[in-house]
Amino acid sequence: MSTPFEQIAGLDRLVHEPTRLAILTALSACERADFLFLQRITGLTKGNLSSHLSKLEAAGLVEIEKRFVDKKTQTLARLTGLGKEATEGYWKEMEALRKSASGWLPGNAHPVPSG
Amino acid sequence: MSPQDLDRIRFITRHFHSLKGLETTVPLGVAGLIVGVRFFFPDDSLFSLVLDAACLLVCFLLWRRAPSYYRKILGEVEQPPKASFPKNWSVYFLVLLILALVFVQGGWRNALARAVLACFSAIFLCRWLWRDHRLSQVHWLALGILLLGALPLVSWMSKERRMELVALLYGTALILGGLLDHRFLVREMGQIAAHPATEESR
Repeated sequence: MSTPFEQIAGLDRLVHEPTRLAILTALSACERADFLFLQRITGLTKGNLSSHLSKLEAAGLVEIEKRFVDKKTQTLARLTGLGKEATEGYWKEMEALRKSASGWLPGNAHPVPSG
Repeated sequence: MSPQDLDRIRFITRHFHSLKGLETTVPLGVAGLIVGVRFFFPDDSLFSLVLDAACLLVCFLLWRRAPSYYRKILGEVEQPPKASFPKNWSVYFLVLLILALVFVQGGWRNALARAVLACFSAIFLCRWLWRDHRLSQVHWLALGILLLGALPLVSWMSKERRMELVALLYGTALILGGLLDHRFLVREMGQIAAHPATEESR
């Protein structure tokens, strides 16, 4: 049985990062959202949001779509099937981590083999 | 970013459409209020007609302009069908109220006034439950209880004025609820913007 520390180390870093987690949380609560909404709800600057969305898109968690509305480009983001699985899996892992951490005692720790 | 922030993000995204108070709720409330005032204080003077026309214009402008206002300042969210609170209920009951005001007379009218007020109250309570019965949305519970509490008041009114009073109460409650929703949405999204998610780790 792994310790809570090992479980933390095993978390998906792409999802665990707070900014990306905020983006994924917003997208998991809707069908799709536009760039401005994601910017407002996360409080990020355009550049930062764009950078995080690109990373999520490259990992296949988010799908980006561009369309024209009133002669302006509108960027929409939606969670892919993989993204939904990753977000749900992350919360399951967190719940498991919470349970194991609540019953964990320092005496239970065993040294991690080096190398 | 705390778990509370994530919870707030999830809630606002999920209920984004129904929280846009100026889009449907306030115009419906203004319409209800105009109907109520028109029938409660019958006045054929030019001033009264101009005032009614001005209120209807405000109602129309809000209904037309609010969607683009929200789109420009807060962005857009698309929800899967049936995910948002069915706004149409309020519209159906407003139409029913106006029809009852115009056509229904006698004892039926009084019974209908009480039934319609109880339905409005139920809608408000359902809206609070729909929004995960949160403390921040308690204004819908309060408005629903206030409308329920007004049922005896409707009975005490003279028979001719009962439906008009219902329209007045309904309109006022919707305007209040809509404005509070709007305030909540703008304030919460502003708070998140003031304390953004950490940006150092990329």
